[in-house]
Amino acid sequence: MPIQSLHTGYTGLVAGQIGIDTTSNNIANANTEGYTRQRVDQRQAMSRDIIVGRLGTGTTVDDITRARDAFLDDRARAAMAQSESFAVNAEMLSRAESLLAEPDFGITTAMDDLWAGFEDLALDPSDTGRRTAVLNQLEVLTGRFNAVAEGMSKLVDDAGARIMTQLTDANQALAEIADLNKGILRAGATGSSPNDLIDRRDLLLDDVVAQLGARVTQQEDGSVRVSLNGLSLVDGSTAQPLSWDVATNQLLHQSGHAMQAAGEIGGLQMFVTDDVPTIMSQLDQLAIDLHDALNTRHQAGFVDSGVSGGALLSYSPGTPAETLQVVLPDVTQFAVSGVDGTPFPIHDGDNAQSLSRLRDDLFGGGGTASLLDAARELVAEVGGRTAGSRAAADAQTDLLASAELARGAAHGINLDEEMIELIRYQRAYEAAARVVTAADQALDTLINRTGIVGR
Amino acid sequence: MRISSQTIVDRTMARLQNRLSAFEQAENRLASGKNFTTSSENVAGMNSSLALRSERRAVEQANRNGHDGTTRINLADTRLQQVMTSLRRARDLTIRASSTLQPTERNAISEELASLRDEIVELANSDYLGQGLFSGHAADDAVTFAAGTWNYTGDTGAVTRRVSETDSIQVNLTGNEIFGFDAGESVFDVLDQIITDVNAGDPTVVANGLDAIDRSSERIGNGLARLGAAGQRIESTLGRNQLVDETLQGQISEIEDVDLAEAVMEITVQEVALQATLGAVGRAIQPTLMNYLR
Repeated sequence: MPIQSLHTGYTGLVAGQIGIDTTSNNIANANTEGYTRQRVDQRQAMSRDIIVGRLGTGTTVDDITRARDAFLDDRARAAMAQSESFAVNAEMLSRAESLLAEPDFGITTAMDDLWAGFEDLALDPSDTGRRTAVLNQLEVLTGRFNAVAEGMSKLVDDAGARIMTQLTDANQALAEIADLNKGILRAGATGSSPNDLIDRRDLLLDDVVAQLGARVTQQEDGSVRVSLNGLSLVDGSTAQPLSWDVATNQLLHQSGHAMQAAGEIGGLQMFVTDDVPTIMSQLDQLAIDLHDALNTRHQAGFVDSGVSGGALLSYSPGTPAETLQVVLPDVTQFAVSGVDGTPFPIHDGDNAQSLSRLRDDLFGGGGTASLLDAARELVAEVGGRTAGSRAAADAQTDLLASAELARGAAHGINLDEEMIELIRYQRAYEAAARVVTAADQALDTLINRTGIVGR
Repeated sequence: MRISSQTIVDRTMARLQNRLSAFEQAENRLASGKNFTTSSENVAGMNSSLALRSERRAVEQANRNGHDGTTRINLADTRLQQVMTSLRRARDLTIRASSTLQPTERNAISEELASLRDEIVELANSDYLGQGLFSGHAADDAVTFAAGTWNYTGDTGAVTRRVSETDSIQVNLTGNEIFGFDAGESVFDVLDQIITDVNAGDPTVVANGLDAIDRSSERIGNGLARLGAAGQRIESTLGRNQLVDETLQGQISEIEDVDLAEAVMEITVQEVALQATLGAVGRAIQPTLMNYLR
């Protein structure tokens, strides 16, 4: 039945055309970020009952689908969130580490200088030059405490500002995801798959997860739910934004709940709420220990006029390291002598010597270690945290690479493959055209060459 | 596994980045000469390094203390030697005065004895960096003449120098001891007595003063011996400190400093690896099906 072939050939032509167009679109988008390889979903057309059996009637194109694996997406996004979190955390911590400026310009060096200065003073206790040198060393030491503490609070401000910038982006992305959910639902109602909208949404989801470490759940109706700590950020077509409270350093959900994010914001949050408080409490404790040790020793000695020594250092409670300062009025007030006798001045230098012995005496860590050990512990704490985050980020980078590879394998474009597809559809199109020609020739035979017997 | 074009680009870039960063690290180590510059690069290394640096600082300070002590001892030694010389001259004069002499000669001897006494007073009151050498901790002169007698006006404070973690060495002698105040016959009183006796002109009485001069010399001689011993202790401790310092320096260097040969080899290895990666990238990106389709 040549008429059927004409139609069958036509369906082949249409399918070939759609195949070529889809392949062209794939090639055109080979470098488009977030683009998912599309495939023509072809099915044979409904057969028709003829007396001898059922006859196929050609082909139909059901849909153009995306080659995407949601599971691989989840894996890649989880790795991305972890990797971003540790990387940004390590970056902040290494900035904190450079504030300590060990080993050359740090607190440990300034303390060593001070102990040596006191001992130098003990060699010639009445010398104004040596006293001035010690006073300077005291000021250098307190200055280093101040600088580290101020630098840390600046880093916290910085992290807060970065969190807020990131949140602006993330909230925008969340709102757009909610909009796309609506659009995808509407398009889905017509039965076709809105590939461009879904690609756009996947790309935004990548961003949101990298920033927040949020959880993405596919819903049956085609929309996605984005949630963090069990609270939804996007549900259907409504988005609930997050905010950062600068005063309390808290990440807040629209409902007022405090949240713990992962991802880049999580890394910054971890720095602000975990790393800095630990480091600062060690630094503050060290400042208090140093203050107590120096003042106790100094007050046990006697100044030139024969009275007991006064305080060397002071701080405001609450922010010891940031406010540690020298309160000795002038160099004549150094209590260098160790004896309470007459006539004064007695320049035995014993108390200066005893102050220099603070180097080894157990005044650090609340009286359990030397001040140097406590300072070393602080350096090791910061270094250890930085190294830990950096190692974790490196480990995640490998995981991320393998997850991205698997994901790329599923939805990425391979140009060679597309060339072959192009040839395949081109050949199918040519063959279908030949079918039409064949049917045409059959009809030609029927119309022009029959019924002319005896003409 | 399906490999997409983007995957090839991404992985190639990642590999290149890895190689470049390894190369950069090797270069950095070689250029800085340090194994690490921050704690996070080597937490344990930095921890030891800080402790060793501090220890080294303490040893250096102990050396400064020791050198200061040595200077002080040497100065005290010189001063006491000068006192000994003056005393020997005084002894010679006393011997001469213990024979019968003309009054003018006696006068000359007693005047020289008085000037020798003043010289010794001045030596006893000499100072080092503003501190009396023989007056303990007191800021005042060690010896003063008041109300007709010679008095020790210093105190008995011991001046010590810490020369190592555990050793503190006394580097002073106090005047009450070496100049005989404690024994009840200060060298100044002894000389004054001889001057009085010489002026009185009785040779036999003058000769009695010789024993007192000898005892004074002996006391100062003992002091010199003690100073010498303290000086030797300091010298030997400083020698040991030198060894400790060298060991510490070696340890710090071992932890902190780059092994140059190793670093040079490392950078060569990284360079070769980088070139190999670049070559591989060039090959991986070139072929496409397009080259073969007509």
